[in-house]
Amino acid sequence: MSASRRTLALAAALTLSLWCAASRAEGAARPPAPSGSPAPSGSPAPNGPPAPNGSPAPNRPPELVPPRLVAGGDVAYPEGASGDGTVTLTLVVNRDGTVRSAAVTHGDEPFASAAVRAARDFRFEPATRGREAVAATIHFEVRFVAPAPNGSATAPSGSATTPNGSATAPNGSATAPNTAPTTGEPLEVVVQGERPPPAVTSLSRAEVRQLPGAFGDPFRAIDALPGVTPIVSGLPYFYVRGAPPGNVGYFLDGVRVPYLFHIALGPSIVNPALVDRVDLYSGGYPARFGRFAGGIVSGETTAPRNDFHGEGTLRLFDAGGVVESGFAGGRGTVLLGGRYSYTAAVLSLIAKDTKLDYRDYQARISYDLTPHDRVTAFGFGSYDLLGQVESGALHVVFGTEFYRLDLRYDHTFSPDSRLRVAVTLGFDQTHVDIQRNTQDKMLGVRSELTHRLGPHAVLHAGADGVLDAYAVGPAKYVDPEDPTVNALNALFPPRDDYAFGAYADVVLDAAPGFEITPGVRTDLYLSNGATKPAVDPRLSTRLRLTRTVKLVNAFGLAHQPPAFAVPVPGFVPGTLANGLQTSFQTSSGAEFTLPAGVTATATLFHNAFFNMNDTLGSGLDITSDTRALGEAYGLELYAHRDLTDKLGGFLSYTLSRTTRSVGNEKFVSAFDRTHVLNLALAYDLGKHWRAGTRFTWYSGLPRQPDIPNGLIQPPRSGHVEREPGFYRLDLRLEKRWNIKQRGWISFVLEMLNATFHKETIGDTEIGPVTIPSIGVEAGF
Amino acid sequence: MRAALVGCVALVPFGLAGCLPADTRPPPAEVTVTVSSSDLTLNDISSTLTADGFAIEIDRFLVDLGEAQLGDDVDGTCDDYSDPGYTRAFDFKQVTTPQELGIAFATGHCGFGFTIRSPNADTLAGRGLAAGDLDFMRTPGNDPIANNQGISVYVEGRAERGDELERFAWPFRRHIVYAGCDAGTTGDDTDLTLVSGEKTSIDVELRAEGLFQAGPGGPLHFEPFADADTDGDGQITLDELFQVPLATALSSGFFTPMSMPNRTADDGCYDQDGNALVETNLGTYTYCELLPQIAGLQGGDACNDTRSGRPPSN
Repeated sequence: MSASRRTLALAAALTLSLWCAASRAEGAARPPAPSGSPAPSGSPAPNGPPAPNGSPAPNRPPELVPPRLVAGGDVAYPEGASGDGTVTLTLVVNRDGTVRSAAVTHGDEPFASAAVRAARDFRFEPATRGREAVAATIHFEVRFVAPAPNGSATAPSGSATTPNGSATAPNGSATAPNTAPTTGEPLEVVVQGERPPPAVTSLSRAEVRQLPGAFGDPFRAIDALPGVTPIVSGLPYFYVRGAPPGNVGYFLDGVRVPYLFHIALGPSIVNPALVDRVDLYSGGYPARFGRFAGGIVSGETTAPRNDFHGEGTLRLFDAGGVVESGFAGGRGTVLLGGRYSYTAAVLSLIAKDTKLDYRDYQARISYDLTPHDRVTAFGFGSYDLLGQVESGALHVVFGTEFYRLDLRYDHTFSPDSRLRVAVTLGFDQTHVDIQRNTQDKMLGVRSELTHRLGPHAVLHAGADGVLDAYAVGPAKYVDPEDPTVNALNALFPPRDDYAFGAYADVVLDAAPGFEITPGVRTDLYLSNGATKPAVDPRLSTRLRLTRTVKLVNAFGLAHQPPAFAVPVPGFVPGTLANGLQTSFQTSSGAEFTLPAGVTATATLFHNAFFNMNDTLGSGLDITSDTRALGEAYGLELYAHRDLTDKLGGFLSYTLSRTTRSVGNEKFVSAFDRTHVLNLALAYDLGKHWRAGTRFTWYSGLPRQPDIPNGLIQPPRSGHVEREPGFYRLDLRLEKRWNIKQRGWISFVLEMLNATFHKETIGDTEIGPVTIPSIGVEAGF
Repeated sequence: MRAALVGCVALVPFGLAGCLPADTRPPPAEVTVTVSSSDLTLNDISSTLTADGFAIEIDRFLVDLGEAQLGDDVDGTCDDYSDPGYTRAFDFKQVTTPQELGIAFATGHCGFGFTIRSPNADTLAGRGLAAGDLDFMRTPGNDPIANNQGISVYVEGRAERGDELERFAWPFRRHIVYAGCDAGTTGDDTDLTLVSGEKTSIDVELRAEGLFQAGPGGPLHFEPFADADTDGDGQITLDELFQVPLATALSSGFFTPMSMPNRTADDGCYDQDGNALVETNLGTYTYCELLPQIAGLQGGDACNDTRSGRPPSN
């Protein structure tokens, strides 16, 4: 498009309104719409009451600063248009300054589409609260001025500069959207702090990059969060508030995935560059999450961007990257990503008969049919293989793979009302020794609706159905009377499982500073001739006591079909006839906003488990379906300052007790750890050097009775003798070089367990499990 | 290769294909492992067969064994596909015909081994086992060299010489791994040559007489055990065997030390903590020297590489 047909958009950000900054901003603030699923609206109603002009909003955090546009203000005058046009957009600006979503609030075509396409390339200096970047919803006006009749280059209006005025602290003026000055002053800004729902802890990828021992993987940082009890150092499987690994659900953009890590110890199965945020719901989670009784780990991918950009890593054992670009004039985006390990090649130099291989891929295409309608296809998959070449033939010791294709249609009714309808196809396969295959072919449909019911209520509702067709390949070369083989056959029969569910919750701003979210989800499970219904009520509240203290409570009932000890693709027990697992989750705590950008939480929790199959914690054969009662209670403390600050870090501590009851026995869970402590620090050394360290310490596991397994044992008791505790120190050092405006390259040296400390499991010292990583990361 | 990968990635989301390679090994040989009782176990030991004139009758001979393994290949050609990882318990006094112990799959030049151990939750009850026998064997107990161990071998019987009658009921709590068993065809430890697709069998013979035999094929004796009944109550207990100094038992002239005087853990006899078991009395001698003799391959010698000690881990 010629320069003559260009004009400049005027973008402006106004001030916080009284209502926004005080009760609205507090009450409505929730995670902005993630790319993966319609987020709770959370944004203040556009027609909400403005603050008195010029008067500061009471209770407004004084340090709140709205986003400021720093790049991308030029918007092409659309082809075929005539005359001037004005479009008002609602933009959700991420904490990194990128635009997560753009929706038209007001404006006609073709100006509206042009504005939306352009807005996705805008770059902001993010909103900040105190010193911490927060996501924000901005009402943003783009004005198009028709080119001069003679077609010559027409200078944009005098206001065609980046509206720096928005960088100033909000002055509290409540300028109506349509009365914006033409000078580039802020038009309207509605800023919301990012506040997660109760009982969730979130990690952004930008932060996790700075966390030693996580190797840049957001999912690997989960075990540093409060409520999470590691099984073994370095193994990325964990108990969450007493719930075993098999009771923790993993989701990516709302799509269930069977596991998160390659070869159990390896990197996560999604390229970190694609993960915008990971949320850990330890209990009392929102009604949209169901079918897992222990906890939810939910990853959200980055929003589509139509500028050409990419990121890659090159490490000792693998390499990966992501690139994304727009097409069709910015209406569409395409993303390709993946990771490939060359462990096979490396191993061939050391042990030529061993084959260890892993890889993953991601592909996403999105296209905006209209400014309000988007279709997206998101495919991703993962592959792991451990084999041995014997006499020239391949012996597959363990192999697993899964693939997902998620086809989505998103419609935006208004900035506060969105609908997603999606169809998911999935294929899981695991190959274990003795030539046994298990497969799961999955078909799922879901709808997710977010709708603002009024100035004080936002509805989230949805429904979904999933078919899992499990097939079990015959184990041809095994003893047919082997009890283990028979137990596995009984536990994993070929069958078709169905699950149907519906949910709804309403986020109510019941009073200034008081938010209550009642919800319920219902599910119907059918498997192997058994049918089980479930009703899961949920309730969470958040009450602001002072400007810096809030009380948060969460309660919820959660049901789950039988689960295997650890998540393995295709290994889902077909023992629904023995009942659903049930947990009743409660937590109560306080959130504190402290000086210097520090936030802190203190939470008491209690989880009660019924009919659960935790074979690990109960000391049972993992092929059994013996059910247990369980209980977990404790205290979680968490203090946090953004790791991307010059000096950032966090302290995470969990004091807890987990018990199990089987038959007449009541005993401490085999994976109970009384104390779990994580302390992380990251510091900007200057000249683009950054260093970090993380200290992890936890209590030893309960000593198991000195009686060989298989013998008749006396009842276990609550008395516990523990094995020695464990600590480790992780280190990270990064040197970064910026290349031109957008490019960067980093050299990263990282080591998990740099102290080479050994861990004691079952009276045996193992390790030291020390994982070094040397790599180069780059992006543009 | 690249096209296949692309095709795979394109198709798998629709459930049409997977990318995992198939196991490309050829079908293995199928080896059925059976157990049987020796003639002397079934028919008792007459006084004419013992060197000291005792007639020995076996009333019960409970043994839990299994976990048969094809492996221990010395030339690197044995490809072990799967082994029956469980045990079965029998009263070999009642095993009159060969009973299946398990089926293993392998190809190549393989050794063979199995384990005598206490039962676990997966143990199958075999021929002759009475109700409660498995629980009896799974109940932890102690003896001078075992702490909190189940019973792997239980032998109950009596011995008579003239008007002399001695009864015995010994629960052995020892875990014995038999490896490198000689199938008797070549004298080679690894003389099982398994060809893809073929079916073959191995029979493990249980020999109660091994408890009274001074080495494979050696004479049978009961006198040292009878002498252990120091309280003269006609019951020889396992504890009493541990009270008899080994020198006393040996000086009676009935037993020939097989590998005396100094064994080490590498020789295969050590306690459950992994320490070498020093044979200082008849009890340890019975555990270390005699008990392993109760099993061997039919038609072959006893397995020449027995190891024992730590309790089973599952």
